[in-house]
Parts: sequence; C-alpha cells; structure tokens
Amino acid sequence: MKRILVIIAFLPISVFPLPLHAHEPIFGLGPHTIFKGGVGIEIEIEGEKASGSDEEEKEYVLFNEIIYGITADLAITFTIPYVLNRKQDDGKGEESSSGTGDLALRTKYRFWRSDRPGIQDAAAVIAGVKLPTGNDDKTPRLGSGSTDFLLALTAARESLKWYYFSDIRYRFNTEGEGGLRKGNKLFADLAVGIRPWPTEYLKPDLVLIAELNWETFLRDELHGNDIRDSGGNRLFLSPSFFITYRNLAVKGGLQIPLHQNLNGEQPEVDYRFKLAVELHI
Amino acid sequence: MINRTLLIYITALLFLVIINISLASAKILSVKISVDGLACPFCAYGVEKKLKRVKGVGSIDIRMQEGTVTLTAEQGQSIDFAEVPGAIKNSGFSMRQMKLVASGTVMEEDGNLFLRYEGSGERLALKDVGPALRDKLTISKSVIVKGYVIGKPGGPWSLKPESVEDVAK
Repeated sequence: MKRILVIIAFLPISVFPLPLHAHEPIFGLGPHTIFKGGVGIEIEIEGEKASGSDEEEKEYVLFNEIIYGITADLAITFTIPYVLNRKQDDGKGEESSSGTGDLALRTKYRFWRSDRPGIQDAAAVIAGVKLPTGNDDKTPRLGSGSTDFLLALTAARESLKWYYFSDIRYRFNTEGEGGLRKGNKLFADLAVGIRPWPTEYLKPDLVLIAELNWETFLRDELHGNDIRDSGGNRLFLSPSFFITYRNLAVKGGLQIPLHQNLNGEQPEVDYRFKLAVELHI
Repeated sequence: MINRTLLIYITALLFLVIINISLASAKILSVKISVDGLACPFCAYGVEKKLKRVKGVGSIDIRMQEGTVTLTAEQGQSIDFAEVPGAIKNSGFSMRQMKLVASGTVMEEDGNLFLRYEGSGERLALKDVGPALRDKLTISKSVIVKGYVIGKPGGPWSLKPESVEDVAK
C-alpha cells in the first residue's frame, strides 16, 4: 500500500500539460491565440523536484506541441509529452522510468478582444482533454491512467511596456485503471510582466514576468476511498522570461514554493522549471 | 513612300498606346495601415505573414512604437488594398485607418471625382476634396494622390485626398 501511495503521491507534472504560448505567462495561462492558418511548433522541457517524508522524486518531461490557428480567435493545440526521466526514491530503493506520456488536446477561444494603439485586452476560454496513453504499468507510472478534462478562463492586458495576466482553471479527473481517481485541481494565477527596453519588429525582444501560482487539489481516491496522504494546496512565486525574435521565441521560468499545505505525509515540491522554444510558421 | 507613311502611322500608334498604358496603369504604390492592439513583435509576425499574401505587396515595414505597417508595392505592381482589412483581421488585430499613395488619371462623372487605376476602368472615388486640392485635380491629368481610405471591408472604397502631385514631378 505504501508503494502505491508513493506512486500516487508523485503527481507528474505532465498529467495535464499547459499550452505555452509566447507572450504569455510560463506557468499560468493567457488569452493569446495564433493568426488564422498559423502553425506553432514548440519544444518544451519541464522539470520538478519534490522531497520530504523520506521520499525524493524528480521528473523531466519533454513536450512537443503543435498549435494551429483555425481563426485568429480559435486555436487548437496537440501535445505529445515524452517523459525523459521520472525517478523516485522512497527510502527503500530508487526506481525510474521513461517513455511517452499522456497525449493532450486543447482548444482556446478568444471570445473578447479590445484593441487600442499599442494595447490589446483580451479574454479566452480553454477546454482540454488528456488521454490515458502513458504507460501506467511502469514504475513510476508515465501517465495518470485516466481521461481528464480541463476548463479555464483567462484575461489579460498586453501593452508595449506592461503585461497583466490572470486565469482560473479547473481540472476534472476521472477514475483510471486500478480504481484510482486523482483529486480534482483548481488553479489560479496572476502575472505581471515588463518590457524593460522598448523594441521594434525584427529586433530582439525581452519581457520579464513575475507570476503567483496557486493550486489546490482534492484528495485522491482509490476504489472510492479517500487517500489520506493526498490533496492540499500550494502557492508559488515564479520569475520567468521570454525572448523573441520575429517568429522565434525562447522562454522559461522557475517556480519557487512560497507555501505548501499538504494533507498527511507527502513530499513537498522543492522547485519546478520550464524552458521552451517556439516557432511560428 | 506609302510604306514610309505607314511606318510613321504605326510608330505614332504604338507611341500613343504606350502613353495611354502608362497613363491608365495607375497603381496603389504604398499603403500605410494604423493597427490597434499591436503590442508584441512576436505577435506581429502574423501581420507580416498575412500582409505578404496581399496582391502586389513587395515589402513590409512594421513599426511597433508607432503601431503602423507600411506596404510598398512590388516593382511594377499595384497593391490590392481591399485585401488589407481581412488580412489584419486574420492576424488577430484591428485596423484603425488606412492611408495610401495612388497614381492614376483624374476622371469626373456626374460632378464626382474619381481616380482611374489599373487601366481596366476600375476607379476609386475621391471624397471630401477641399477647394485647394480640387484645383490640382485636372480632368484626364495623371496624378499621384496621397490620402485616407474611407469605407468598410467589402467596399465600396473611396479616397479622401491629403495631397495631389503631378506624375511628371
């Protein structure tokens, strides 16, 4: 049972990858879409280290994303995660696994937009589904083993100097194989960004962002019974950046926990990071 | 002798045809678009991508701080400015106004002024022309007009001239 709990407790960050659109927060969401007929290709690496309760877990996942603009306000994103290395040590021994994770499909609809000279205000809804394609026979498992859903609302102001982002998102998890149901998750994010140096098109552009990311998650269930060592909430401070040149973007950030209140005995997140390259064609 | 006269006639005819083509082949030489919402260079790539597909566009100059995009016609081509609003919309931004530089022949019909371009009978109505500019718009004269485009996507479009110059200049 302890072993199962350890596996469950390590919630892989790839459980529901978020679309990372350039000029949006790295850990939160924004209403940005891509131009009609535009294709975005993104390669992103995410990492997480958690420790505590005599356990240590590390995970590195490579995400391959394709974004397509159906219209200027409607985009779809397809994500193929590849778990480079998921490692856990429960004090009795170390185990690691790698392979394809759970595929995800998302759609974003920018339902409101207000344009003024040098300023764009916008709001969007995001809906997504994650399929249980990751191998959950491996230890640690590579997917959640369940079909999960995401619904999010986001709004932002983007200007030549300042950026403001906010979002709220809810992840609804269904029961997967083995009778395990991950606890549903609620996220809320705020971000403010600044462009320190005014720029022009065809010039490098740097934006620095500070994010506050809050997440709360319900207890996991096994065959309908709550798992004691699961659920809780976390608050992160996340300095992040993006550098762009024409249609190429490099972006990244570090998530540092400010507060963690976890039920029972669970490893606490030490840090998370993301680094991504995105190309629009 | 007859052959020589015929040759002169043919030469004169060709000359007139060439002159006529040059007068009638008026063009949209450049278009300056004020784009609202333009705040990040990475997002502006969509504007470049979409406007490059507009017929006749040779080069694009995007100014982030000004919020403007200037299109210059390809050598010998005319920009199909009617495609511009759709291109801006599909890139995810809003067009506030469009200013263009057009060359063509001045026409008058029912007291209304037009600029005939593309030598195909296609024409652009000249609206809100002030008295000073009205004097410069001599009928059948070949001119370069700079001005604001009036109208909504789908047309009809008209041009409010700001300045008029003789083609010869």
